[in-house]
Amino acid sequence: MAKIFELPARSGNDIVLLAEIAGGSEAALAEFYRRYHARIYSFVVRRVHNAADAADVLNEVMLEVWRHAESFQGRSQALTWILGIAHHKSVDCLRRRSPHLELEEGVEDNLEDERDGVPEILMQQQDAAIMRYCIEKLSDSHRTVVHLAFFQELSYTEIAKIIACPEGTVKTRMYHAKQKLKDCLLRASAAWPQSSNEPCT
Amino acid sequence: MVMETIKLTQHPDELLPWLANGTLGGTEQQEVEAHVATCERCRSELAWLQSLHSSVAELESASAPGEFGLNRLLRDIRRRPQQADRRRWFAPALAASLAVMALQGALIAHLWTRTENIAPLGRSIVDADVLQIRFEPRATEAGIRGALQAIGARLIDGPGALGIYRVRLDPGASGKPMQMSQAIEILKARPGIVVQVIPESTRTPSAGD
Repeated sequence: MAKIFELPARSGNDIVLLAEIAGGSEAALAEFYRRYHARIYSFVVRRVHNAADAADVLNEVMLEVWRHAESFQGRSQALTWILGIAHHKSVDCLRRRSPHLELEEGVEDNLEDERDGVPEILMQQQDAAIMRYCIEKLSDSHRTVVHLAFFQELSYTEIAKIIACPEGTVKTRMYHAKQKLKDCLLRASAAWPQSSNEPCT
Repeated sequence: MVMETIKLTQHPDELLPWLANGTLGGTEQQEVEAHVATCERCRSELAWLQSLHSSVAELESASAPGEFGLNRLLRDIRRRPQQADRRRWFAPALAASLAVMALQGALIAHLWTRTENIAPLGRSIVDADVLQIRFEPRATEAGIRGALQAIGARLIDGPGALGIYRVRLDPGASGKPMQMSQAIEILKARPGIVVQVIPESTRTPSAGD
């Protein structure tokens, strides 16, 4: 399967680029922005569900890079580091938007984990609207893991660093996320004819 | 990294997504692929995960701000000239040291282990009245605001890559900020809000990424 983002081995270039940013190079910051802004924006907009807020968060992330580029020590990939910033800035944005609302965690109990294997109907081509609906129905923590794994194409080790949790938690959240997706896709596929674009109520 | 020995009698459900997205490697990849080759149930699961991978790739693309966003960013950083001055003397030594580290990083595999203890972010200037705090992910904005009000502090920076915020203790009615030790005790008494808190002036090795 072709990689979504074709990135050559850039780790050395990113380190030098960040060193130049730390030295006050706007040209280096612009290069870094062009290199990563699309991936960061895609991650953030899935979290905050609002294009304007996502653009604000992207700006805050890049400002953080500008202010603290010297703190990047090269122990991880630059993408992992900046997605970690984006994760925390997104959480901060959601907090400010809803001051009294606790951010939801994935509910790992009361799931139909007894479902084994893949029902035949799910092996057919899925309607894009149904898939989008089911992904959006996931909790923030589940949706984040699905996005980082299947859009950003990151390993569970990298995802654990980004969202600051143990690797086992990442694997568990992915397991439950895909079980929830299967459940939703089954119900939605039965409720919607494949030609229909109307959402479930 | 310690490789888990996968019992071939079990289905490696927790590892199949990482085989599907192409990031599984080493012994894990070999063992999972060997299992999939002999298990129809896991072959179906892997095929579904690969189709999910394709679907997400198509659905998740979003129109980023592009050059418009870059112009905004550059406009914002040009409003902060004092930070640019600090960088000019800092840059040459930093660039040299980071170039050496880049070479080392390419030769040596580093293991990142999650630590429960945060250490002060590497900063060229530390402030005696500043705390570095990591809040619970589920802490509400109202809860955080209440905690900071209780110690007479305000947010001045963050969150950064590690989710750490910097807060400054402001002078109270007495004209002096609350004592650091008292502020830390008050924050620690709110376990649902604060995960960790340390004074920024603590002298320990820096922790960037």
